[in-house]
Amino acid sequence: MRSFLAQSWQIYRKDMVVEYRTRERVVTMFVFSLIVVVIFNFAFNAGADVIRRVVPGMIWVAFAFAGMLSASRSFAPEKDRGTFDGLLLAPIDRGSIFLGKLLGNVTLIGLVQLAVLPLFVLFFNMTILPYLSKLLVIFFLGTVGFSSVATLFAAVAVNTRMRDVMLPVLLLPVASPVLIALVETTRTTFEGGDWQDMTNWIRLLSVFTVVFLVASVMLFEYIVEE
Amino acid sequence: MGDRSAPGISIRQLTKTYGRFRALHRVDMEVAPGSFVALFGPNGAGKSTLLGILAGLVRPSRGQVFLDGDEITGDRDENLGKRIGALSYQTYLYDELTVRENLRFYGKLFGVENREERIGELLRTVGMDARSGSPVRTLSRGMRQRVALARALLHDPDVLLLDEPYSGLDQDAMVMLKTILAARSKTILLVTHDLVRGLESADRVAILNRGSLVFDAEARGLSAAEFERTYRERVS
Repeated sequence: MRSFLAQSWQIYRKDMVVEYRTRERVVTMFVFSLIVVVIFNFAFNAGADVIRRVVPGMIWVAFAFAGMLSASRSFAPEKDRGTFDGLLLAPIDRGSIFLGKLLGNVTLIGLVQLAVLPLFVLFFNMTILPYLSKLLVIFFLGTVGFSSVATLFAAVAVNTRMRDVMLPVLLLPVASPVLIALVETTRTTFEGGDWQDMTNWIRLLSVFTVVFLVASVMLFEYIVEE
Repeated sequence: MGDRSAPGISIRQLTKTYGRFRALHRVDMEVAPGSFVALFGPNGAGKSTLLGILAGLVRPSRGQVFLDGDEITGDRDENLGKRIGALSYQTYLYDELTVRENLRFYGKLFGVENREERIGELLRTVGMDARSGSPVRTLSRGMRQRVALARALLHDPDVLLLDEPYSGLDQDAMVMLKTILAARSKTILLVTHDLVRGLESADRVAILNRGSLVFDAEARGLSAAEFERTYRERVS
């Protein structure tokens, strides 16, 4: 287990160094999310009640598509340059490659969330400080759950001819339960609801995250084999 | 012949299909321990697929491969990677990392002991120690191939799979690669289009055409002209 985690860490660290030097993914994700905020800000000119109900949907549209960009780019350059074969040749559990890539995606989506969430607050004149701890738990669970399935399907899609089209086609139907749960829990939080008001959604989020995380680590080996 | 402590490879009835396309068809081949086999064939003959199966990157549709009597085509054995080194026209190097960072990364994944010493030693061997701090993107094609050779040898594998390793190498680098391979204690399988260079390095030569092995013979006593003629006959 220790060596599995150490191998994942090496892959994660390498990905983060490469990203720090290129800033390829994080800039694209941030620009995309920023455009979503600006467009929705112009599209909705409603009262505070309506805003509270629709903003969670906007937030998760932005982060889901930014997450797809991140997941797709976590494999595409490796495949194009042949470095992915270099990873597959290594005497390591291939699940550790998945975990390293997943950690990278969670980190980058988290960074974009940190930068973009304040913009949502600013543009839509909302308050999030009283709900910050709840939002942290929801965002963490949701980001890990969504990234697990996005990373897995990105590994599948990267081997197909129309990989950019394939990823959303494969991912979005499977990820819809987690996205719906995220929108519902975020909305309930913005409306001042308590944990009891969203127990079922939190359960769904937790089960989805654990199931996809474990299943993805186990399935990854078979997905990457030709 | 090389070192007999290196493993032998036994390939039996190896078949790989992609949908309707048959990349390999019932290939049988024996690679003696410590020997150097050069594999030739036109584009699409199945050479890279064969190397991919040996490296554990491609799962065969049928057939078996044995490394020192142990089957490597069943469930994946993580330790296979420790025994095999692969060098291809793709360098497996990250452009954004420096030469040393690339080798350090692979050294950690391959569990190389005394990593820094080993990296230093290999960089000197391939003549790249002066550029160890340079990002790979700043290197020429030939320099990258030298670093890729260091990466392939980093964990001291006892089988080397070489897919067009001379691609992009200048004359000096080619001589260096040939010297390293000549001083081998490894079983080597080389895939190349360069008939002359392959023939002069190998103990044994084989030709694949349309997924089938159509020629397999000792290299000794085979002249370049004779082999070129055989090649043309077998792949036409």
